[in-house]
Amino acid sequence: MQTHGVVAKEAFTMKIIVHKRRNTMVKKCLIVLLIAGLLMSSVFAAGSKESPVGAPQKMRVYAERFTPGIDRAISTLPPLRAFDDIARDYEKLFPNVEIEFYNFMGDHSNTSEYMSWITTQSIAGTLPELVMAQATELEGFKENEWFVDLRPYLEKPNPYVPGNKRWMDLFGEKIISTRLSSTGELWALPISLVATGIYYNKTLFNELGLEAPQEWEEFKHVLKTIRDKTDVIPFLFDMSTTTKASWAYRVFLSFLFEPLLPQIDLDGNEIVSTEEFARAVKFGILGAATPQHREVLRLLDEWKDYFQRGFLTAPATGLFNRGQAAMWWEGIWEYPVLEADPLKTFEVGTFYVPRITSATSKYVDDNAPMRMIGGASGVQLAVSRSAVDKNMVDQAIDFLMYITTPEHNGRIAAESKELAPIVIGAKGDDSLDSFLEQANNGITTFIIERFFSPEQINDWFRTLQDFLSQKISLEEATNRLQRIYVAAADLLIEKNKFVF
Amino acid sequence: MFSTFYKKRSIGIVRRPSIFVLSMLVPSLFLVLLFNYYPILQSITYSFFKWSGGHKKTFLGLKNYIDLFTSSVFYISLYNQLVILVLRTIFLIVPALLVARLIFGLKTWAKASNFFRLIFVVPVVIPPIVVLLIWQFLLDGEIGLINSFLQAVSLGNLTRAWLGDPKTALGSVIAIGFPWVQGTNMLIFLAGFLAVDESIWDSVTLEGVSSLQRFFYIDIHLILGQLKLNIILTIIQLMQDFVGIMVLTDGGPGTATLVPGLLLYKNAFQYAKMGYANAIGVVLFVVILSLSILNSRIGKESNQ
Repeated sequence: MQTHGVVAKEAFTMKIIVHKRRNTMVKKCLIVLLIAGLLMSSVFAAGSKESPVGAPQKMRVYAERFTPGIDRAISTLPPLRAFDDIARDYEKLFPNVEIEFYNFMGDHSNTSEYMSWITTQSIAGTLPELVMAQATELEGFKENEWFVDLRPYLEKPNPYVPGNKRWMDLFGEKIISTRLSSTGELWALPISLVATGIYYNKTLFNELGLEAPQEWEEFKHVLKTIRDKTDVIPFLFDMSTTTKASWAYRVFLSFLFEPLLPQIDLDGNEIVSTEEFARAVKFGILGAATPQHREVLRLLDEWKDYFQRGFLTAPATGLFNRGQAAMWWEGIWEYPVLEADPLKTFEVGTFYVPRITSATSKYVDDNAPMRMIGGASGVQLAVSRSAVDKNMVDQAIDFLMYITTPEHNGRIAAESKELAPIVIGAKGDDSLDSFLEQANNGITTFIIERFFSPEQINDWFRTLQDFLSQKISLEEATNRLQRIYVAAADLLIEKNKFVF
Repeated sequence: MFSTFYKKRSIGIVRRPSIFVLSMLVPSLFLVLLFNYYPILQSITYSFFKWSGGHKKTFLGLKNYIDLFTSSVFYISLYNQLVILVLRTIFLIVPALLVARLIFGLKTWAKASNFFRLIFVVPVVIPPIVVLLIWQFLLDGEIGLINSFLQAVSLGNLTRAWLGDPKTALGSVIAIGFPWVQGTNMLIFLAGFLAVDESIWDSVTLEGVSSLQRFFYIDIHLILGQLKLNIILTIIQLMQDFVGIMVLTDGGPGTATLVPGLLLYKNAFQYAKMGYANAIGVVLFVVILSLSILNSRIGKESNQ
């Protein structure tokens, strides 16, 4: 019995010990869970800061190469300030608004990377209220309602331009129409004009007794001479992305289909609309299966023999500046960089893409105007969902109107020297005047980015690459491209309910 | 009796700490479920919808999968991926295994063993993008070092636009990282060799087996676990990785280097076809899982 009593006492003691230990462990578990809960709630709370009542509303602006304070392409170029000064003046008019310039740290010229950023930031709801975006690339997000259609606002007067009755009149309908989506929306407002030109090594040309060619046959002679007599790459052409491929393609389309323009461009405004494109494809006037288009591919195929090796995947950075290439087709944004490059040892000249004449192809009209590659595809600002969520759409539009007066638009563009102003009457940098003369003839009539969806653009581009690398024949390339043309026309007809 | 009672209680006391351990795991489990498993389930769900990332979704049923399995571009990307998978798995496993075995052979000479171990592991810390950009320069058709070297040794006729020619682009991408001694793989193999009992090595030596026979019939079998692990990890990494291709060729020229991962990325972020991209992701997941299970089964049979 005594033993039983001792055991009972020990068991009772053990129960107390176990009970105490259990309590200690439960306390530890509770502490751990409490800490975890606090941590998680602080993580989730971090994203939901709200501005205190009465504080200025912040409008973030990402304006790509116009962004004040960004690193310039060459460090000797002065930092940009004009846009910032204009923004501060605007803030004086609206003390409840604070404008903050956002700097995108990635490569805005890399479409994949940039669109990934646009997409992810839009999903998160953190995209700047005014953001640079190519208007034609935002169409796929229409049903997401991530961007505001600016077209209706262009009918309103710009209060910052005395006497202006319609904001649209400051740009011109034609130039704006080149940025409309396939269903007529304007997803981003262009605030600059771009032009392109072929930069050439004038020093080398002089040594070889060559002149800047005006016509395509002359151009071929120049290319051949440089290839035969020097080790220099005759023509630097970057086809690792769709941009330059699109330029070349559009120039050739313009020259070769110019005689058929009256049958395609029914309203005669020298810009082929999505409806006109779809109709022309359906009626067999326009498309890859036409003899004119076969000429486009033939010309590209001949020209590629003078490009640098690896032109299909390697960006052509630096080879022209170092004198390793004789010619380089680029945008006007490269002009100040070339001029300021201290390592460049030759004189740079420019000429536009040589005219294709009947000496090159029987389908060309020798009197056709030289169409410009460029237009309103430079800096374009879209009003994002962030502005909608913050009830700042009207403010954002108002700021866009403020920066698109002739004075402000000219100031911003002139300071950067990389792009031209787009507002009628705005004065840009004098050095770009020669590039912009071509604008008098209008821009290329066939802007494929308006007709093809992003996926169709990719298919078109891959087909061109396969053709130029001789992986597929002219026939196969023609068949594939024709399927893309027809699919594009069908999609446009379906979206817009066109009836012919 | 007390001692028996105490043992029972001791057993009870030993069981108790598992509640504490479980509670420590709960926050991590929650986060893994939220940030790993939940997105996987969402991805599978969205693969049946037309979705561009916004709030609107349209149920399509199996249409995304039908479009995917009837797309020639998808099969091209699968073919490219298969070639990359087979060749790069060999390149990333075999040299690492050989180097690990050689370093193991130096185990009696500590300084040399440590030196070689360090040499082969240091490259692991170099950011992959740096390696890619260096190789992009090496393979450049105009200014690349490989072409310059070939010209310098009078083999100019062998120069190519390595990344710009569809005939050589895929091979060039596969060759990135030559001589392919992957530091992490090498360390795992080396750890396997070092974990084997010394007596086994001694008895093998006494048997008078040749080095080659020893390597194929004994060494590989002794580190089969590590081999299996490295193969599975390499397969998973190769199936998912498309960044290198995106940087070097963006899937081009044409579709010469296009892989399913890059196709997924383009559909999601360039074409705004998130639903279709999710379908590609689901198919990739099934393929990777199948390969991992197959690899595991083969390894088990070899063990037996």
